Amino acid sequence: MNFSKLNRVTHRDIGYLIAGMTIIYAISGIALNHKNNWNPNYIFDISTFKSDVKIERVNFTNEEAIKILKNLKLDEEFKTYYFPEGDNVTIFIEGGYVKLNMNTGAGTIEKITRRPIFYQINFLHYNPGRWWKYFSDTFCICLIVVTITGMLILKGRNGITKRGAILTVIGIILPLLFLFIY
Amino acid sequence: MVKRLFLIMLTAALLTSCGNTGKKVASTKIGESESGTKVEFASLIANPESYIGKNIVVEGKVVHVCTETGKKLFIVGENPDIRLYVAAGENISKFPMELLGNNITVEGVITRVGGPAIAENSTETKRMCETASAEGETKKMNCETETALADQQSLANIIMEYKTHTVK
Repeated sequence: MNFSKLNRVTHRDIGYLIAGMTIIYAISGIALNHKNNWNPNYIFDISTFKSDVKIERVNFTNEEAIKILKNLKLDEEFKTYYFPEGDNVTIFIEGGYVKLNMNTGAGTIEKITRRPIFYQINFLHYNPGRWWKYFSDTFCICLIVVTITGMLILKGRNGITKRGAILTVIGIILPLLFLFIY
Repeated sequence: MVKRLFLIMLTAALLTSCGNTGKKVASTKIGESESGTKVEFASLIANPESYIGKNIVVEGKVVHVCTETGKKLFIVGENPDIRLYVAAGENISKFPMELLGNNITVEGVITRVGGPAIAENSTETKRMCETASAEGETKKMNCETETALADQQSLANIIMEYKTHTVK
């Protein structure tokens, strides 16, 4: 097998092999890029309410918390409660929490669910464990191999010595420009 | 053949993403344990200096998980006003929100930082908390626990570097 054929076969087969991973990393990359605009991992279903139940921190008990949940017609299992700061109490329930201002009676119910697909792919993107680290290192090496073999596939005017060279240089200059801008 | 492969992949993707509801498991151990010394939360509050650099196991109630990064978790013991800041690391990339309100035992190495832990460890958090009021009430409320840490009488400049945890 000559170099050209070996290069093409390597590019093709590794390309197929890492297609899934590339898409996972690309989608979660876009999702995480915009994490200031949305939460890529969880969906927060938030609703507000007004309560006239009088609450005092010193007398507050589990029973009081459950009573508030019943008034709000929440069926979710009660976990515990907590006073974070100031006049607020947080009542934790299965899959979310209720926050209530003891002075004003204003509160929010926040239900949290994992964002389907995105949660899972972002979980992988964040490097969940040692073995995934080795796996993703291998993936990155494969990406380098696919890039280099891809650059060497074509010869002639569309190859790396002519058109390919111009586009490759542009691809290097673009991130460098951002370096200068920032 | 190709159709079958795609069908298998689609089924696997759906099972993975939809079947995971994040429901509470009676006792779940996550991470890699190196069996640290069991310490009462009250003892940690009373004398945090004696645990600096030590691998300990402490039990507490999860009162906050950072919704933005998932890298910060706060637990309390008997005294709800003293929180211990647990920082994610090599063993866990993000803390799941499902831990909120659960009792857990968490193992990790206690570290002291120069100033209030929340400011020292994450400029991102500081920025998020500063801009929170401008961005909405929800974020502002989420930052309450994190900013309250700086004002507490003990453990304000202490971080536990996470190793493993068990949900009670």
